[in-house]
Amino acid sequence: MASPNILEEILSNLNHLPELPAVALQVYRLMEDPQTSARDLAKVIMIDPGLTTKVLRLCNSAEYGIPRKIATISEAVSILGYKEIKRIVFVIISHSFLNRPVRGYALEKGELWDNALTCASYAQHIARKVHFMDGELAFIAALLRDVGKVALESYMVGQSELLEDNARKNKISFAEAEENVLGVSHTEVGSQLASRWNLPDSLVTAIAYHHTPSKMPASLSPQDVKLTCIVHLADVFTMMTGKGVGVDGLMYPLDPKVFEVLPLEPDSMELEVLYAELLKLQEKINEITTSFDGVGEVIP
Amino acid sequence: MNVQTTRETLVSVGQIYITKYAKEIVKATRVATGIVVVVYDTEAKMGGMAHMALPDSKMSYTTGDAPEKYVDLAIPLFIKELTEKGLIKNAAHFKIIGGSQLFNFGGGSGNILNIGTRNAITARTMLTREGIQVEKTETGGNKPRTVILDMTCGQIKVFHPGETPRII
Repeated sequence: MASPNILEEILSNLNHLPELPAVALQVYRLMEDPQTSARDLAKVIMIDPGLTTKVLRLCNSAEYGIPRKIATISEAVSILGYKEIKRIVFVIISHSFLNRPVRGYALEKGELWDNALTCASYAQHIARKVHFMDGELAFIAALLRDVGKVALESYMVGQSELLEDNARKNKISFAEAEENVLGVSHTEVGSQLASRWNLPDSLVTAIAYHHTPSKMPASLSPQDVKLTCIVHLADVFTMMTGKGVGVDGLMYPLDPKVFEVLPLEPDSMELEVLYAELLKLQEKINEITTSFDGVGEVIP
Repeated sequence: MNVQTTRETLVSVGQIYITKYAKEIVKATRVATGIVVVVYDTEAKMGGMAHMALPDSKMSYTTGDAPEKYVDLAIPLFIKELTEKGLIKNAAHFKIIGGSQLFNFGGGSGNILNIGTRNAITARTMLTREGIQVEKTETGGNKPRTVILDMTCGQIKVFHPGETPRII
């Protein structure tokens, strides 16, 4: 656990980061309410013209392959569905704070964003594979899992060697070494940020334990444990691709908890086949990335 | 006057790239468990890079997949293409880079995903089978590597995130 002073200092230095726009939370809450209509959802999104434009742009991207042009948010909701619109809103919003240089981790602009999108797409695929009921939630959790790196990065500058030595010497993950050396890890900072943004507990938990699902409190719901294991496995596969992997490299172990919780065997062949499937998602990930080309930051 | 402009080419996973363009920087970024075979032929003034992700097509290849992603399929294709374009084997400097691994402290599940190590071993085996001598390998460890082939001088450079490129 981080010392309260250091964590407080880091969190109080976050003013330079964009807040999660209220619209994201409103969209999230509307989704939880079974009474929500397409019109309600459209109304909330349309309050923000920049967000509206981007949602429509993504809905009309090659990713969805819809033959005719979607012109309004209501139309987008009825064609793609609530959950998909929620996913799109989070992709757009996270772009504004993840698409930036994260120099403390030696990541250029675009690399953390690419990493987040890759992990999110992998998590959604794995969710489907292991019959997790909410693939879009897995997507969002994986998309946001490393948001703590953005907040922690200035404390990382010049520390990577020390952290690496600490991790190797103590046989711990790089995130645990962050806690040893800096007093706080990117997972803890990330979960505190998510909590400050009033994101649901399932997301806060997944961000907090995405490197260490076996350390999750026993009191958590089976769904939350499953979600975190999915994000952990997606993160492992993302590290293997190297996309947006910085000074922390692959200095994280695969937590065997995954095989207790998910219907997967700790078997090389099954995992390798899964990895090959995930690599095939690259084209779709590129389509999302391309749909942001030439579009400036809109939010907040 | 024919003035060549410098260009940079990124070789992504599942791609093979061969060039004779003298003012080119060929790059594979953040190669983690994947593997890169890179060559510079000092006589033919030709360079090439193959960037692969998985060791064995028999494990996970499915219809429609790019053979260039698999070490056992990509290397014969790479060598064939290089040969067709005039590779002089005695003047060709082949290097293997990548094959990192997740942390594994024993007792964990890290060894299950030993794709990096297997990629490195398979790359060497396949090159030997093709009659290629590997001049240098830089594989293993727990960090990704960026690989640069500088066609202006034939140098091959490697670096981990946050480090300065070094010639290998």
